[in-house]
Amino acid sequence: MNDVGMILCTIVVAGELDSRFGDAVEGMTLTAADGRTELVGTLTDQAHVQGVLHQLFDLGLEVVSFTTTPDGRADLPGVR
Amino acid sequence: MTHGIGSEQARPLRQTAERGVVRAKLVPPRLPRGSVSRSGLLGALRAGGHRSLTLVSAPAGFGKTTLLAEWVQTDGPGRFAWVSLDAGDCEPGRFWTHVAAALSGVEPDVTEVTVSAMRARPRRIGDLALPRLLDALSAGTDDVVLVLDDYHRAETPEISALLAEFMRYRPERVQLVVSTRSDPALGVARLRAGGDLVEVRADALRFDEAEVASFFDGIGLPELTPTEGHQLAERTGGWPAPLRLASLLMPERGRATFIEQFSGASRHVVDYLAQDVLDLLDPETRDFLLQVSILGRFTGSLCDAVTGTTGSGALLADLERANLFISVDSAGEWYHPHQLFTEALRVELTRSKPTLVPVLHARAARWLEAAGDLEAATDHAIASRDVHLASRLVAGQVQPMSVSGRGANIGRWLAALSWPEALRDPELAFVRAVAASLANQLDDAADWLDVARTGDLGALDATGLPLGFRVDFLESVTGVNDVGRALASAQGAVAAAPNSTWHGIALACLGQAQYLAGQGAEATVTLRHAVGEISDAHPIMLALAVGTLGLAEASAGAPSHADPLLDRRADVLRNVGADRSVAAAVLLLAGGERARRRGDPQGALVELRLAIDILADMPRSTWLADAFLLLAATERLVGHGPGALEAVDRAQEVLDRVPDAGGLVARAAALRAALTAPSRHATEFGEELSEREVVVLRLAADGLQQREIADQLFISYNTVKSHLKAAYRKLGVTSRDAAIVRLHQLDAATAPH
Repeated sequence: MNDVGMILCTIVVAGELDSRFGDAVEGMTLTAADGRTELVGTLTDQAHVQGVLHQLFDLGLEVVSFTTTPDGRADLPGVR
Repeated sequence: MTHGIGSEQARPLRQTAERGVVRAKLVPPRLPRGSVSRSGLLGALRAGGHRSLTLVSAPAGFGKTTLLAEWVQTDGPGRFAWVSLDAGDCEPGRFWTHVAAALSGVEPDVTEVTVSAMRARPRRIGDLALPRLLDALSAGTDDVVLVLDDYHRAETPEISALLAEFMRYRPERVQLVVSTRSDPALGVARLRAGGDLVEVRADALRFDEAEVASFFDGIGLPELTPTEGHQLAERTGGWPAPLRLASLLMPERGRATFIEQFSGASRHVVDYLAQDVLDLLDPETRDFLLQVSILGRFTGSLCDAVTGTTGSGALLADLERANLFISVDSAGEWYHPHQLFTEALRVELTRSKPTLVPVLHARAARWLEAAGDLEAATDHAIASRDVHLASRLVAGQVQPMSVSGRGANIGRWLAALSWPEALRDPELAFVRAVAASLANQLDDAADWLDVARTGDLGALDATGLPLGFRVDFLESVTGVNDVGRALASAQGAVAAAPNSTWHGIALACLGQAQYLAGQGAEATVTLRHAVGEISDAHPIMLALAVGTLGLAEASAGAPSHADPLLDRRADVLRNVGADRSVAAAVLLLAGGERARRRGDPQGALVELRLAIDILADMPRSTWLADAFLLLAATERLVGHGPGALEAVDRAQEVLDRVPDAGGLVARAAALRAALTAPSRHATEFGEELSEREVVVLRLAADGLQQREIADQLFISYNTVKSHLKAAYRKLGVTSRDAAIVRLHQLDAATAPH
């Protein structure tokens, strides 16, 4: 499978969310601590990213930070 | 229809939507219990009365809608026109129909006619229906407020452009209020700088401590101590949503501890909503809320249909009274759950009962369709992943050959229908082909038609046309890069046409294919019949037929029936907003030929170039090649040799990329040969005719008078006279007719074999 072009996203929002919200936000992994929640996941492309941001907006979540890394490397743990 | 879903209750009591107007969208919500009066903010809103825009902009849960509802209630509903916007309002026709309908409730001069004008010509709202609305408003005298709630849901560049126009030209007494979660693209910064904006933002909407206390008082909770009030205000930053949340979760005993914990915790509101609030409820109520969370707004009847039970109306009333994040309109009929609550519920529903979700959406789709709200029904049908249902609903809202489709929504729906089964569905594929052809994306249209052909060709659509006929017809119209195939499809369509209107349209397609195949005489006969049979109800096909007829007659040297019709057809196309369509381009080509035959090749050049401008959007189209060849012939006529050759080259580029260009290949070759053949018009006396003399002679052969030739070539009348005299001398003739005969003889002699 060709992973070139996938984007590894880390989004931090204000407020703590239970991990159940991960499924709602495109299967991202949630970690909550210190009044913030970090969402991490691999997204297909910019359109996908915009979709995720839109969902966070709908949930009334305030985005504190948003970072991306192009995810084209096969040697990352857990990535086939 | 809705079998086994408590059928009596499932049938809606009355139509939700009439003539495209969904009544529920026009009624503001009733104020929730315990809402805090915000007279200071009301004052600010009223001050917007003579500014261009009043903007209420803040994230979810800040009480924007509540504030506006309070304003309506305080100042009296007779002055307010309210529209609750949703995703389907990205469609200008729908958006403005509801705005007009809302205004018609408070403005006697905004009539039913004004409202329906919005839907009648969605492409011409900007220059026809909107000015009409503004005109109707200009007569009134009382102040009125137009509220657009949840504007962010409907905003697109097209919507913003029209709203900006409305904002600019409305009478001053009409106050425009936009309530949104993200700032609109209406030149807000400029308005702010010019003092022409009133805005109420998150900071203004936050509750201060007095308001927090007042809020809890209003809800009927035992008095908060100042410390507790302070803690809650601090913790929530005055954000109304978590305050309401706290009020729900506040236990009767141990309040102080609760508030301490609530204030200390950092869980987000939606997190509470998805767990703690739901835990408060009994299982039946919980299940009920989870199931109806798929809806944006609902009535008891709709909820009954979705949950498959009865008595939802009473339950909803209880929930609203309990302040459970649901508001109701003043008629007590339509309920609006708070956005954050809905989102939280959906998260929980998807997590706990994922397989139920498509079923719920399907039930909602059926109810909404029966109630007349087709746009909402379609959204749910797509969410239910029921391709058959979605296909039927989408197809029913696309008008086959009309420019006035529900373009924005159709595009949105087709994009959402992107899973494999949906991509294979033949009926949807036909809709996609229509959408692609309206956007002049002919290659995509051809691909989708191939998918459409895999379906049941006898299946009828809402207008009773079989799929096979529809595919053949669309293929022959759009298949202008494979003339042979278009010819075959057109013949199929002619044979299978279900009635005389469609027979005429199919003939037009056949005529087009015949003309492009180089069968000018046959095309002329076919198209004369077509023009006679196609009614004015199909302006684009009629225009295409008339234009192609003009070209066919010109190519066959037949007398022109089409020429007198060209101008009127072009006007009609402009009226329906189709002046950049292929049909419009073909009319221009025909106009060019008409000009040329009337002795005005310069005028012809203008029209041909306009046509090319339109057709250039479709680089793989035989029509584009045809246009270049007509241009080349006309350039040659006015002596622009290099220009003519360049046009032939451009035509050839297109022909090289097209599967089957019919008769154009031969035409291009002949023209190229004539242009590159050495113009050694040797006469009997051994003297050659000069380039200029040949050009002038050709124009004379086309019937132009000397003065006209002078105008066309931008040279003087005397120069023309002397060129002609020299030419006659060299050819050894004394009359124009004899000169023309000799010229043709010489042309034949230099033509390649």
